[in-house]
Formats: sequence, C-alpha cells, structure tokens
Amino acid sequence: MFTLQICSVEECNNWALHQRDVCRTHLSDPKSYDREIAALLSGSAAIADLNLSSVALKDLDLSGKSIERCIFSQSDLRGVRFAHSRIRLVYFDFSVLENCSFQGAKLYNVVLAGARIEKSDFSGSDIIRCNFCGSQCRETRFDESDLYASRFIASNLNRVGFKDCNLKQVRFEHAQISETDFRYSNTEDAFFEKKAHKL
Amino acid sequence: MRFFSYFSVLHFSNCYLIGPDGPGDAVLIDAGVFDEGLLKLIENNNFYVRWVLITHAHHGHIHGLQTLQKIYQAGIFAFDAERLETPVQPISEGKSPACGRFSFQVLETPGHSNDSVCFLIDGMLFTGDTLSAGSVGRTATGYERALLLSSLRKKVLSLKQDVLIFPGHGPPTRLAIERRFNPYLAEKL
Repeated sequence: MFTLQICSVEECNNWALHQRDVCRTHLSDPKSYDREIAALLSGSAAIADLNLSSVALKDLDLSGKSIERCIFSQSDLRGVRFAHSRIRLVYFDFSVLENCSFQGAKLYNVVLAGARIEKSDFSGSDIIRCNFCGSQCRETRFDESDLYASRFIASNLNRVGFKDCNLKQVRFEHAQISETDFRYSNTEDAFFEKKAHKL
Repeated sequence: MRFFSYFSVLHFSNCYLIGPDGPGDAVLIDAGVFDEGLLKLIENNNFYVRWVLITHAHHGHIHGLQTLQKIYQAGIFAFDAERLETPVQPISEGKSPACGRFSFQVLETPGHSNDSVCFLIDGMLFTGDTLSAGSVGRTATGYERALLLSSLRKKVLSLKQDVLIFPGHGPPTRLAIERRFNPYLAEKL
C-alpha cells in the first residue's frame, strides 16, 4: 500500500516523507535527507512502499532493482540509472528527469505525467500502461520499446525517438509533437489528434 | 495493507486488490475478469476475497463475478443492486460498504452510467470509468456528458490534490495531474 501519512506540522496537508513525520517543506535538513535516501536506495535490491516526494538524487545507480508502490513526485533526478529495473506502480509525476537511463527496464503502471524529461533513455524497455500525460519530453529515446496502452495526452514531445516501438493503444491526443521519429513503429494502432492542448 | 493492480486484456480493464499485511480477508475492486492470473495473485498473497466493490455494472467490470463466486463467498457491493444477476448489498454516499478493517467512502458519480460510483480509501480513489488519465468516461448523450462533468466537479475535483487515482481503464494518475492536463476537464469545467 502507498504509505501516506499527513505531515505532523499543524495545518499542513502534505504527505509525510518516508522515515519522517513531516513533508519535504518542513524538513530541517533536506540535503541530509537526500543523502540518507540515496544510501537507502543504493543498498536495497527491492524498494517498496516509500513516499520520497521532492527528493533530489544525482548520479545514482539503481540498475536492476525492483521498485514498487513508491512516490517520487516532484523529485529532481539527474544522472540516475534505472537500467534493467522492474518498476511497478511508481509515481514520478511533476519531476525533473535529466540524463536518466531506463534502458531495458520494465515499467508497469508508472506515472511520469507532468514531468520534464530531458536527454533520457527508455530504449529497449517495456513501458506498459504508463502515464506521460502533460509531460515535456525533449531529446529522449524510447526506441525499440513496447509502449502498450501508455498515454502521452497533452504532452510536448520534441526530438523524441519512438523508432521501432509497439504503439498499440498508445494515446497522443492533444500532444504537441515536433522532430519526433516514429519510423518502423505501428502508428496506425495509436491514437493521434492534431489539436494542441491549451494549458 | 497491501495493494495490487491487475489488468485484463479481455476488456482492457483494471481491477484492484487490497489486503492486509499478512494473510487474511481482502477487497477486490471491480471484477472485469476472473482468470488464472488474478487467482494466482490472490492465492500467492494468502488472501481470501471477502468483499467485492463494483464501480458500475458494465460488462467489463463485472464479467468475472460468477467465476469469483464459485471460489470465494464474497459480499458484493454496488450502487444499483438490480443491475446485477447476483445478490448485491446496495451502497450509496450515506451507506458505505462494510469491509472489515477497510473503510471506504462512496462518492456517487453518475454520468458514464447511472450507477457509477467512486471509492476513496487512504488517499486513493478508484474511479471506474468516471475519470481516467487524460480522459473521462464515454457518454451517449449530451445530458449524460453534463451529468458526468457535474459529478466530477462536485465530487472528485474538490478532493485533496494529492489523491492518487486508479481508474477502470488505463494507467494510474493523480488528481493534480488531471486538473492540469486532462483536456476534457480543462475545456469543460
């Protein structure tokens, strides 16, 4: 189950963080918390049921791990490697992902909606029923991935690679798409609409 | 508590399983299918499905009920008892389902169907076909569409923005995401 406890500070309605009774806003030393979490994640093969909203992680190798039912919403992830990881029911919404690698990973029901994703690599992955709605993807590769039933509704895709992907049931309605490569992918099985979403 | 989602290619629908940390009685939300995969998920976690909550009585959300009832003696809870061919305990906003330690709040959200409800527990909202990532439920008439959007505005969008949303179809989402990016909500509400 998602671990959702309200922050103990009076009148604060945010969710408290893992191993703390307060939210990120009320942490006394956020940088120290980030270091603690980086060590925790690095040292665990299986990570589950953690609320790590707004955590900042840099140059961390989380390759080959199992990550389930965690919340990384509004996080700042730079140079983090999730290659060949198994990620299920995890929230990265409204996060920044820069130079991150999900190469060969298995993502099921992962939420990256509203995220800013730059220079990241999702190639060769299973990205099944994932939510990229409203995301800003730039210079990012999904090549040779299975994106079955994922949604990019109202997203902004610029210089993104979807080469040789399975796009069955993938939804791109209201997305702004530019310089994006769909070669060898089954675009006829995806849903497109040219209308741009007004934010 | 432990939480799992299960996807069926039969109706492209999701169902959700909530159970205790150890073995024990569990809740299934929707039963669009009851196949070997779902049975394994339940049994491997040593759960017994004691309660089933139905978001609405469309085929893709209840098709598995008959098979389920051959295996588990589960109490079925739905808004409109007459729409199912099995004994059902009716629920409404004033009458929450009794699921042991699991305390669900019922939100009546007609529109996609007259019997549509959402279930809220611990910051998680199960929306059935009322709301999904970037979309809303299909409606047949303008009246139903207006009813659906009214339900969303009054019952769902007023909830805490951090609420996690688990729809009957498609990937999970969050209320803050839908408020900002769902084209149907942005245009119509």
